[in-house]
Amino acid sequence: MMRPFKVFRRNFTSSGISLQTKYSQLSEAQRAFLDRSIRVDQAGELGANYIYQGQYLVLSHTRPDLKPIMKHMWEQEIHHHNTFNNLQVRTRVRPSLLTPLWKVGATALGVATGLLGKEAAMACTEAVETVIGGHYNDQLRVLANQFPVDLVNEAGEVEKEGVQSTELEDLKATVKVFRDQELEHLETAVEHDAHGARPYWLLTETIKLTCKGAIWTAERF
Amino acid sequence: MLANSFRRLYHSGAHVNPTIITDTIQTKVLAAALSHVPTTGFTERSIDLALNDLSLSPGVRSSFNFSHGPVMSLVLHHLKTQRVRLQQNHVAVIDGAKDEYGALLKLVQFRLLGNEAVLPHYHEALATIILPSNVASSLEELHALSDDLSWYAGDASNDFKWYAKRLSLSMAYVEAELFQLGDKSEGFKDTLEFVASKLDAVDKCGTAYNDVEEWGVFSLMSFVNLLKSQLVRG
Repeated sequence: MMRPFKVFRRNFTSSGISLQTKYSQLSEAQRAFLDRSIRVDQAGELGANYIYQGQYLVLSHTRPDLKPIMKHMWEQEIHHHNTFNNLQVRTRVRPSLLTPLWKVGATALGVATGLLGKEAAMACTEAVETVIGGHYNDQLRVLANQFPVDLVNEAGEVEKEGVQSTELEDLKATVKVFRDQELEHLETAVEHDAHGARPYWLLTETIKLTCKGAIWTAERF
Repeated sequence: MLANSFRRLYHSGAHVNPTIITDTIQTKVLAAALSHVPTTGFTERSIDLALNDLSLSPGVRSSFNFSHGPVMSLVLHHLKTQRVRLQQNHVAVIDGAKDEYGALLKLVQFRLLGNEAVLPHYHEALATIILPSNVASSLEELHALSDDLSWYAGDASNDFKWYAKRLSLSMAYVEAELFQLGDKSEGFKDTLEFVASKLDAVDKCGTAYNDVEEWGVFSLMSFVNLLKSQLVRG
């Protein structure tokens, strides 16, 4: 059973200040940003998980030589998906209302690009991971710039300005690791002839546009 | 409106946002007014008496920000106070519950018993919260309650089930409160039984849905395998 986070408190006995301190509250806008981020990241990782599932379903039959590499990427996406599922439950963010649609759409995209062949599947990965990498970078920028808070003692006085809670540090670290892994997938896809897909430009740009639309929607609904 | 009433903002562990901001005069007056509700009801009279209790002049009222009028603010304050009571007691309440459903039932029953003191006047509160201009904030508060209840019960759903659970819980809860209005049994025994049967039905629906989904996936797989075996035979 999931339990809420422990309220974070720190004792500064070593530095001579004995008052217990805690982090100041997040503003409405900061919470709204985190709310949207967790929801869209969860939906995105769900999408990635189901795209690889669809591709694996097809490619494991047509191109058994690709099995280990597809499996590796898919397993990483499953881990990402589980991580964000846990975060969504723990931080009590509502999941995307359109989750059933994301499941069907992502599986369909995976199966379709898988059927088009290895190059198309890799081009799909390239397009998706390009958008996701950019999306995670945008998020990291905001998390780094907009989330310093004050450390307040029990009397309500500010002890220290511009610190970041472990909770947010952890979130940033998670997003960073995931972004790096997504960009690894991007590299793998390019190494495996993503550029050989025909029509390359049409395929990747369509998928990129779809992903951006899905991100916009999942943030809101 | 649905999306708005589900606007559960990120809940942080390191940065805690309280359900009720307790240190304003307005909240103190509303809290004092709640103690008058058992006698004078959800009326402006209770607020006036509270001002008197705190030796504030009646003129202070004009400085309050009652966004939906004084009575609705008093009702909302009752609802939020009850949510805070859940927040403070949920661990003890679900002690000994076998599963999520058992925990949820205990929590809902605990919440319903929180209406006991104000029940003779609770119809006034219900009449206020269903006024068209108040519906949006009442629904928001109702869904905040069902979200809290599900969370304390240990709900970990992360797809459409999240919405289904909370909506059905909200509906069951509203029905139970309406039932409670006319309940004359000792310790609201009938209401507690009523809500148990309601939640049991919700639980059964969820199980049925899961079973059908599992069966569907199984049938699909067997169909694919059947096709494959026929293809191999040629």
